[in-house]
Amino acid sequence: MPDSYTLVRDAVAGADRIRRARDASRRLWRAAPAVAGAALIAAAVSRWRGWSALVPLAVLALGVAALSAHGLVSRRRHDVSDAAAAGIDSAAGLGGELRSASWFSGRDTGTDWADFHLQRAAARLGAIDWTQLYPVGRARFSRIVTGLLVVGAVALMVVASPGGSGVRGGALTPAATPGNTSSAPVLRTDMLPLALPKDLEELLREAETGVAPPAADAAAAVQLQQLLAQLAALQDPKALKALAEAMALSSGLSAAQIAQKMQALADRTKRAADLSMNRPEVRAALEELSQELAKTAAAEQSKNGEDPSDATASKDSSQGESGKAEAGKDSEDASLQFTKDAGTGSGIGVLMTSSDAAPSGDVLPGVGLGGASGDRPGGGKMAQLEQALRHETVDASVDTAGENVVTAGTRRKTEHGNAAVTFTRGAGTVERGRASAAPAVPEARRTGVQTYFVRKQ
Amino acid sequence: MTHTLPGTQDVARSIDQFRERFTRITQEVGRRIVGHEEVVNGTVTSLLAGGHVLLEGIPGVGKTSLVRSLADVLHLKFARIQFTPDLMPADIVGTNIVQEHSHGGTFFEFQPGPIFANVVLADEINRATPKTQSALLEAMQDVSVSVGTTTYRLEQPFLVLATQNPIEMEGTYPLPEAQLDRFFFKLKVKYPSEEAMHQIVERTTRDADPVVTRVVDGPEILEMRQVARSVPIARPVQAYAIRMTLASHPASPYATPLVKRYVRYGASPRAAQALVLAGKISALNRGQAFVSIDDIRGAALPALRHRILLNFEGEADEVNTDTIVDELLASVATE
Repeated sequence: MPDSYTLVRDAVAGADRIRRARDASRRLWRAAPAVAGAALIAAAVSRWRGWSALVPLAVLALGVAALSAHGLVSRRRHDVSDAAAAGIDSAAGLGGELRSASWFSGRDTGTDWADFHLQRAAARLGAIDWTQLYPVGRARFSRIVTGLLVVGAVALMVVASPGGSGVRGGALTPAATPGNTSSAPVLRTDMLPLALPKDLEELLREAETGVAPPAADAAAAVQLQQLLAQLAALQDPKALKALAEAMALSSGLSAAQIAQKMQALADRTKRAADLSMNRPEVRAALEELSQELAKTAAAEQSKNGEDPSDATASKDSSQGESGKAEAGKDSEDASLQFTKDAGTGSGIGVLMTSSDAAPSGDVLPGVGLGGASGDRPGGGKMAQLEQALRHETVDASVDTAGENVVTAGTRRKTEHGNAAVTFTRGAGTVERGRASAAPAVPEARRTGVQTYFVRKQ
Repeated sequence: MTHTLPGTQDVARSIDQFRERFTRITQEVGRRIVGHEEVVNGTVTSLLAGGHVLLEGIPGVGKTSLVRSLADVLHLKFARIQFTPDLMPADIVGTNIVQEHSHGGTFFEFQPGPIFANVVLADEINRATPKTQSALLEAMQDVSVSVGTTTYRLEQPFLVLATQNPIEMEGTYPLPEAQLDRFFFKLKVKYPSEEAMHQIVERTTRDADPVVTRVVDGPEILEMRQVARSVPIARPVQAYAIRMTLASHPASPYATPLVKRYVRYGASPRAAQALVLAGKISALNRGQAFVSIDDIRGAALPALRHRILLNFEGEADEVNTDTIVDELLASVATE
């Protein structure tokens, strides 16, 4: 076989290999960001679920291995098909010469014409720079994106690895707690779902501020149901203590302090449950939680031998009668503690007195202070008044006919009326002039039939 | 580096010679025929492929002039037959007539008809009866004529150039399918452009008509035919020509929607032969020794348009077979 045959075969095979390498490179760099993204997602999920860092690493390794295998297979040398030869021929603008020569190069036809054809083809193919025709794409954007995703995945893996972990086994660390950057010991939240304190805080805040959650949001409804279920299941004293600690954003408290926090949370939960705008299931869940908290706090206090209510009262008891007299003279002297919820950036604060003795019998009706001002008649309870006012406001905005609005007997100002224009169907007269003629189907085919029987050439 | 084989030098020379002669023929015909380069090329291609041509066009566009010019340029014996309804087969192929010996007695002597020429112009072929038209069948296919019990060979090269008018249908006899299939190409002679009209008027209203010279003779044409058939064709390219032919059949898996709807019978194997032969001649005209897909595609319209028979629906809807061939070109895969 003349050497032109070999030259053509080699040239076509080389061109095909370069083309496949180019195509494979394109495909690889198109898929590489997806693989890196999968690794990043795996790293994020691993971090969230506390899996081993080997999981994202395995995803990354598998992706790289698959891409490498694809690249190697694509560059493997094999016989050039006619379709591939046609593609190369078209790309090089050879007008079919390469395709034809490629076919003839595999057969020894033994004719001068085929030899001549292949000689010319070999000379022409030898002059083509295939690397210029099929340049390997730079894929700069894909490379950058892939690099960033891989770096992100690796960073997450490092964070999730032992020694740099934010979450392990569902335990909440101070580093993962919003607003707490200290290196305090791990809170005892092992028995709590991670997001429960935050969700409960939001629920309480919504109840206190009167901001109702969007009812039409199905996802929010599901989330709420989950939260309520979690609250209902929260009966273990340890878990309740952990909840109180997490809600108070503090750690390392004494048993008395924990009991105090629990009692405070119980009170707050009770107030939130009392709000009429809340839905029944929310009220019930909060009520139950409040009871559990109060019960646990009482048990804790009895275990420690002191009354939880003394936690606030003990400080004031030192004031003695003189202090009481002073407060009785001027209610403004009563020490006020104006607290806001820790997580609440804005909203209405809960007005509380630090002492039960502050509002005495001298207090004018309506000028009372909230909190532990007692049940004496005439003594105002600012927090309750504020609550009541809020209830009125909220209730008015959510009036629903049939539920909290009486509609029976109300005369409607609008009513449906019958249309003045009516449609009557009667036996009308047919206007012959407006009637269309029957479709002339045979006539439409006349030309065709004529053409068929008197055929043109 | 490849070394030049001894035989390949002859191939290169043959290709150059073929190109040069082909160009001379078309240029010489072009001195008398304005425009219609495609028709002239198609006619010369048919001549070199050993086929016959059916020229279709309205009166006055130069069909007969083209054939006359070609005969003048080719240095071949030319005959014209004006087909009329009363034309008989014997008027074409010839007949035996009774002759008298000088010493007494009579004998039959064959008087050849006008078919015994190299270039036969069958003018308005569809005006003769099918019986007379059929007189051309044997001549066109086998290049021979049978009269009585004797078969007479026709001189090569033999080329029938038939013309027909597409608009005058009164008193005409459409060519039978067997006759149509024997035409290598069906070429449509279109109405000339405005610029071409200027040249036609200028050339034909002067004192003397343009004179053409005879540039190629019979043996040279036969040699060109031999060269054309030597061009190799790769199997994938040949497969494309065959797929194009098969795709014109409604029952074929390659059939297009238009073919399935409007075609009764598709092109015969002669169509594939025509595609390949025309492709080879086209390759030589490009100076190449291989046939490309584009060479085949370039011959598709003239080679297939008259070989596709429409069904009743196609005839009734006045479907043009060119549309169907265009769809075949667009649909049939090249790989």
